Amino acid sequence: MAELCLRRDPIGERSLYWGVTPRGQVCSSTRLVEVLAAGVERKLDPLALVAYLTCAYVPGTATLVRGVFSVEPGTEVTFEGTTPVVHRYWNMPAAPAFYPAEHTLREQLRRALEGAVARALPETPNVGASLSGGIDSSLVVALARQQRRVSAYSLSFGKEHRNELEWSTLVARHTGATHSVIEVQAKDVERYLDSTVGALSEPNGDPLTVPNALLFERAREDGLSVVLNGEGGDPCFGGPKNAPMLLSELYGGTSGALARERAYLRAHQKLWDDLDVALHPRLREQVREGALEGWVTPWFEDGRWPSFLDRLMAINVAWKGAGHILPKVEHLAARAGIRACSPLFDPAVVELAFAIPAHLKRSGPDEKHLLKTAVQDLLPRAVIDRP
Amino acid sequence: MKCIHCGTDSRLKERTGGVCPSCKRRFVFEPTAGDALTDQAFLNALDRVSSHGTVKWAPQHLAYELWRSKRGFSLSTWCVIWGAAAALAVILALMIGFFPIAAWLVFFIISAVSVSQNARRGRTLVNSGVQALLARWTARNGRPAGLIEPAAELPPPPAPALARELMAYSFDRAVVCDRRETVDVLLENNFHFENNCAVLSLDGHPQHAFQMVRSMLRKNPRIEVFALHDCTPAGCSIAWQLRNDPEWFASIGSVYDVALRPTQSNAWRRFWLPAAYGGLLVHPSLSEPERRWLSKWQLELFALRPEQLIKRLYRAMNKLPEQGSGEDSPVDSGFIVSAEASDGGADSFG
Repeated sequence: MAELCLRRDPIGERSLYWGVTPRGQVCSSTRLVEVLAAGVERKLDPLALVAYLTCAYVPGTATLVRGVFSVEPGTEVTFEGTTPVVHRYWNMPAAPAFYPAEHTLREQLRRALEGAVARALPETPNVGASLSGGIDSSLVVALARQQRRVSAYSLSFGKEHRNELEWSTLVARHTGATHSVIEVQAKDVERYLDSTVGALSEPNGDPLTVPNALLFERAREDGLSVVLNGEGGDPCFGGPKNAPMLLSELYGGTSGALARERAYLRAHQKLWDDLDVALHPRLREQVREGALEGWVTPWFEDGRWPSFLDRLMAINVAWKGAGHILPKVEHLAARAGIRACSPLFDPAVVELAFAIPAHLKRSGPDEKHLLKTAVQDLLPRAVIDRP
Repeated sequence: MKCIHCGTDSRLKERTGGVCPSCKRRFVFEPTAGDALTDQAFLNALDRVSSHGTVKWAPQHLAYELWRSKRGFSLSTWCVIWGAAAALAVILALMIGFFPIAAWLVFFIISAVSVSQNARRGRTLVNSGVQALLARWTARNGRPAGLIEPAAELPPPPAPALARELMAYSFDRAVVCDRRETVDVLLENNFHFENNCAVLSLDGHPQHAFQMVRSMLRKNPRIEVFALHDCTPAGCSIAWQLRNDPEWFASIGSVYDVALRPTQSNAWRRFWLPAAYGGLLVHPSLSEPERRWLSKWQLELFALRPEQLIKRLYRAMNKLPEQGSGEDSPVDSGFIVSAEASDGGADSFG
């Protein structure tokens, strides 16, 4: 009899689900609904629902359907009968005993970034890229431009809302990428909401989901097959989204049992503080107090990384990367017939990110310090220096 | 008077012993016995000050909320009413004799006394009266949800290894307040957490984190500091101090005075309190008109409902011009937008 082995990529760029039906295990490497269609019992997992309302995605191996699981990145799942056996073939590396000198790390990082972008490029002469104007997407555009013609796409929500078009335009001009601005209005979100939801495998509470989908559609209309993005820079290199947790540590918001875990959940700024209002009491009582916090605890207790920032980085790569950003990008792009690539989530880049000491990721007020210095020759000084 | 527990409306003679005739729970306040409000009025004030239980608040916020609910017309509105009534009285007096003038005088005296009493009651509430009301309410109904109280003990500092790591970092923005209570309102409502900014008071609060946080902030040559303070001489000078004190941000970053300055005070006119400082005010941060105002009046930030304070601070921090002058002059960046309509209480975002 054939043996089923499910193997998911190290970071979670591609989804992989499995469930158990009366006839045996079923799996899908595209969307969760296909597992459901195979006959898995459809029952809501209350704890996964709490996780979704808290984070706007469901982290880890759980899904909103009880009995349907996501394969964890970097693992293989085989089965003894219906019992899953998980084997980890890739792990985020532990902090090294000694760190190389800064200039050595800078060169290594530069080579890793160039390699990651090169691996993501299509055979064709043209490639697309989403360009926000921040350092992450800007460096991806700059590196891609060294080898391909790049069509860069930026989102705008109208003059009355803050945007970074000044920066994205500067980067496009500097690198020689063509630059298209996709205007998104409320009526566009309303019009494309249903089709965007239908494209996703799991619910995703990211407010940029519909605009992202429109970006991929536009790239497809322009005849592109691959769109790069700058996702991964924040979790891997000490971006600004780490600041709330640092403030929590400073102000004592993490003293007390499960306080740090709760601060991390609150930092998602979704419904953590309003769960008692959001959930029906009958549903709320099905979730044990502290259960969701228990999903966070192992990450903050992981002895592989002595630095707090590196532990934050690890949970952010696993949760926000594999649970939120990458699945969203994967499914929205796939609906448009596009292959989406996130070079900053390339395993070689992620592995190197853990070999960089925390103080070279956040150096005083300077976020993503080493990342910026590794690519400062590629981009305008104003983009490197912008807060 | 309505019972807040069972909703039964009862007359005084039905409330024997101050107890609801239906559910037998004791009322906290009894207007016929001299209390200025009912239980329902107090509960309504709690609901408003907490924005329906979504925001944490200090006792001083409740004091202003109770004052707000008693205010009636503003003084300027009363002046219009008195003027119009006086004009009408003069016209009628020309036709029918002195009686209308006498009637106007009686009306003026009664209403002026009422306005004055309201203002005095309000100041009493603000100064000390609200604590007594809160104590009575808590004794009967438990501690109101969202009330900010001083912490029994300080949180522990970060472990040494973590502290060493944290000291290597910094932040882009900070809010510095003249009063510890304002810092507590912001911290309890997670303003620092949700806006990626440090929050400190000028005099070293919160004590357990102050030195470390200030040292971290001073590492950032582009730090943006927002001064948030009462409209008092001390409050109006903190931006200047932050800008010029080498222990703070002298030659570092930019300092913006968000609120409250005399030019921003008019929207809360009815909550002006007599100045506590009676002497000549001389400070490089104060203009001549400001000195004149501050020599007579003061205005507390607590006059704004906490939700409004947080929203307006957020708007002010995110609407500043990019080239930021770093001067101490007040930045009218939206802190008082719609203030006249809301008078500190609107639910709209600024």
